[in-house]
Amino acid sequence: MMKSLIAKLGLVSFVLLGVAAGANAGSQWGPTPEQQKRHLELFHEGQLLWPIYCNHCHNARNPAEFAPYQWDQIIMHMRTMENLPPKDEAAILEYLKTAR
Amino acid sequence: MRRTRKLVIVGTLASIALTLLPVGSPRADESSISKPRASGDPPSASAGDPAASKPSTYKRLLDELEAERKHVEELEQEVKALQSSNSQLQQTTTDLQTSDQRLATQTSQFQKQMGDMQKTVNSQLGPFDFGDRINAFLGTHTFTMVGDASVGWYYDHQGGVNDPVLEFQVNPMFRLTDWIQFYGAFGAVVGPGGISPMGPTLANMQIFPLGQDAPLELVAGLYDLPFGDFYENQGPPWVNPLVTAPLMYGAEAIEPPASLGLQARGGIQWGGLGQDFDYTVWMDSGPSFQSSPGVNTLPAPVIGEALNPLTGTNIDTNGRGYGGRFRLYPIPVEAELGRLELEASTYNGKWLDSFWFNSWGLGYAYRVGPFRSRGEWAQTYRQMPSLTGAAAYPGCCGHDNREGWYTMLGYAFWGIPHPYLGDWLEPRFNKFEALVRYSGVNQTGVVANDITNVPIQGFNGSPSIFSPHAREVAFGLDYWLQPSIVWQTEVDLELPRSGGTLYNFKGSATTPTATGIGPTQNDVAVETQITVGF
Repeated sequence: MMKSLIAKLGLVSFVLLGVAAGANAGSQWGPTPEQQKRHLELFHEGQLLWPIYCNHCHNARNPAEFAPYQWDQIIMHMRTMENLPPKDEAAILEYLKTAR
Repeated sequence: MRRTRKLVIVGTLASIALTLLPVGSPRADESSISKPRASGDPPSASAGDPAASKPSTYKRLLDELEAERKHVEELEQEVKALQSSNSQLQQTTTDLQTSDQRLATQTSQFQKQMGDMQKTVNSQLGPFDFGDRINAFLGTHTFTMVGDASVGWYYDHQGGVNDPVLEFQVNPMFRLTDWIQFYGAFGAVVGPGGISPMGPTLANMQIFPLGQDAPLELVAGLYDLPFGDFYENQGPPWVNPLVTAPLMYGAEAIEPPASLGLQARGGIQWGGLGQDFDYTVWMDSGPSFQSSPGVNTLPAPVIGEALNPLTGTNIDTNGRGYGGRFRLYPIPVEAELGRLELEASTYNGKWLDSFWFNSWGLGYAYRVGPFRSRGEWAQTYRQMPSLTGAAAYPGCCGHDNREGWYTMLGYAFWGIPHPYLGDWLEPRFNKFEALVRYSGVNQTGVVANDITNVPIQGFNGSPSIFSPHAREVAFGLDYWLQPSIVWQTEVDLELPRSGGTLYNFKGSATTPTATGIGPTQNDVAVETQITVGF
């Protein structure tokens, strides 16, 4: 009974979260095909760079270890520490956030 | 006339009867008149009396006709009923066909709606944008905490160390917008020396003044000194593959580990993917030593005194520092030859108002597949005060030169062919990594007051490290439970060489005594620890 209630509350919360996130995104209705293509390019580049750049100093961390907003912060810090070129940082961030 | 009509009727009926009697009707099998008589049946009365049988025959024929008529009527009713049923079936079939068409139409519409919904999900909440949507929901101010914790046991033969050592550190990150973020480090170490106060070891703002697309970042505040690679990139226990630090970055470091100042840094891609160049330049309030004003661990400056953990603690003086680090990555990713880094650093300035401090170093790092290696070499030059006559004391004057180096090799066991280990042993075997590191420091002298054998995380407590010509060979065996969880075991052979001077401020003396260092004693230390990076 309790589990069912929690599950329902969780589902409702998730739906509300999604609705709120969508509403908060403004008037844009998703990326354009060009943006989608750009996302894909970044993703594949990040997939290539992630093991090489991260392993240079430490073992590459699993993308699932952190939430997307946390990756935003961590990669902002790692870009600073490792002096990553902006494009490479964007690619690795895209990969980490998407590969979750 | 009536008689004639009767005769016609009778004649007609008689002819019908005559016609029917010998031949039988098509339904003779159902009529009593056509039934064959059984051999034992008595003859009917009318059979032998035609005159008497005529009326009865007529009546029988009428009855039979009536029966036939009724039968025909029944059949007609049955036919009508069948026709009615058939009509209903046809109507039902028509209805079903209509319903089927309606369902087909609805299914088609539903499939179209599903397709539209799928497109919407893919375009708005799909994998590429989900994180951004969540981030948009969370706002621009976000907070994240990472860090590490380690617990281990250190043993050193010469120092008599046999103690547990704990360390933990948390790194709060507070991101205000996409161009500014705060980063800090708060931690403490626990060991035989007690519990250290938990203060901030790092606290800085990371600023992108020209936005995320420009190769320029500013770091303002308290930060790891970006000289070489070790302090910035190899410092956390779960990142450093060995338990201890190389000698040049350890207890007798030749560069300060942290600095209070302002950095400008960035990286650019100059060739193919992976071919990068990066720069870091900074300015701070200069290096300081144990005798610095405000620190005063030692009563007077002396050759060999240790650097303070933080530059900028001597802000009462006019000390200042300038530094630069430049790194080149020549191998493109597509070559699949790993990543090679070539690095050069310099840190210069003035300590105690006007005395020069200069340093520079070179380094490399390389990793490909299961193999990795890194190393550095650096030297520092410190100008000492010029004192003469009664003001002069041992170790007061001249130059305080230092030099340090290390090289490390590591090889993960998954790179070793092992086809017969089996399903249970193989994944465990793959998690091991063997390491070896050789490091050394050369300096003119050391100060007895700086020597300690109290171990803390990263320092094994060996007094041999405080030799002017310290040497160390470290063997490590790591077991990587996860990319950031490791059980490390290390054996250190301390092999100091003779030479140099030992300066000692005895009791409350304001000037040191100097003693030449003769033959030195080797030492062995063993450390094991479990470290978690989170």
